[in-house]
Amino acid sequence: MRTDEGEPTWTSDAPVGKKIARTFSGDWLPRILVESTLIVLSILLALAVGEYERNREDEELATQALAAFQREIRQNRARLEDVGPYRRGLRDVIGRMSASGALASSDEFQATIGLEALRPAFLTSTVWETALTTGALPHIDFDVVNALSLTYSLQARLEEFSRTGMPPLARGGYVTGDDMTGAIKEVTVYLGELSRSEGELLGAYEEVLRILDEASTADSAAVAGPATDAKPPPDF
Amino acid sequence: MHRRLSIAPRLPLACLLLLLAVGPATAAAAQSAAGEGVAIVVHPATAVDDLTLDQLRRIFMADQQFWGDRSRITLLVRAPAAYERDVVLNVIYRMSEDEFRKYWVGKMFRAEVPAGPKIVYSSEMAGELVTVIPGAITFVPAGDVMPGAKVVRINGRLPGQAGYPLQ
Repeated sequence: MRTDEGEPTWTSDAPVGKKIARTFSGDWLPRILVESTLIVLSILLALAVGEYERNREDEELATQALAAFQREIRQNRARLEDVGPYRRGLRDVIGRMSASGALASSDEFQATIGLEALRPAFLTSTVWETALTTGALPHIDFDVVNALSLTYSLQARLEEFSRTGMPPLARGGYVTGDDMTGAIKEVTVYLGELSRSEGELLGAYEEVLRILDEASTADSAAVAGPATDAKPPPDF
Repeated sequence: MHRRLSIAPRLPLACLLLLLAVGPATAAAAQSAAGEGVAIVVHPATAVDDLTLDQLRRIFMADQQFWGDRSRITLLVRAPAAYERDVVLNVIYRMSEDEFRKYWVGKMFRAEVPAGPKIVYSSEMAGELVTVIPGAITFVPAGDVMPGAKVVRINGRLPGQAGYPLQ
């Protein structure tokens, strides 16, 4: 059926098969199929590239975080290793000097021993806090995060103990006479407990560093840790 | 009344006499300490008997933090306002107190050292601690060296000998 201008029209009386054949006839069909496929492929490719970029950024963040954790924990370990022998020595010396009567009052104690010697080691947890803030933890292996969480919890417990458990004499309190024996005993017990807790934390540092080393090795991106724990060659 | 008034003029005289008596004694003590110099003492088990001044400087500046047997060096430094500290700052560090503090803060900020030197508040404390902390090194006035302490020669010389650098 044609109009007056000779254009074909679609009427309800035309056969269905013919309608379909007319609809899909001509050269536009392959072209639209190719174009649609290309558009879909382009969208998929863009999504894939976006996903790859995101993964790469996440991996980079995780790698940076692992390197930063290694650096911070090595520094904290070095601080504990540095203070450990001093703390044990100090405890022995306080006991000896007290027994010889050289520490008869808090004034003598402060003048001879000083209070700075009784302070806990300065340990940092800035990387852990930064990782929590920046959302780096979800991109790190669960076991590694678990070990890190345990380690920083132990560190927080040590800091809490050194804050709340410090005896009055070690905080600069005034003690004299017969009370001095008991006060010095408190200080030596505190130092002993501090040394024990620091030893425990040192063990946790060793373990978490081993786990971090493994994670870094497993990760193809090599994480070069600083050589802060590397012992220099002997000079003489 | 007369007796009470008579005491007053004597007080300045008594103070003057006291100063004359104590002053030379204090000066003599300081001179004696200065004459003897400052001894460098290490833990008895440390396998070091002789150091050059340059080696000592490297240790005190924490440029060297381990002994030859790879044990950690623990540096014990006397708190300010002590003769031996002044000598060490002048001869070894060649710094003022302010420069000394800045030096260690900088070292810690650059993570070149885990912590600053351990501060001791008396020669007695320094002498006691150096004997119980493996790898420890400190300095005390030569006259205060405890019996049995291991004193290190500096440039081949002991305190009191001619040419000893720390005096």
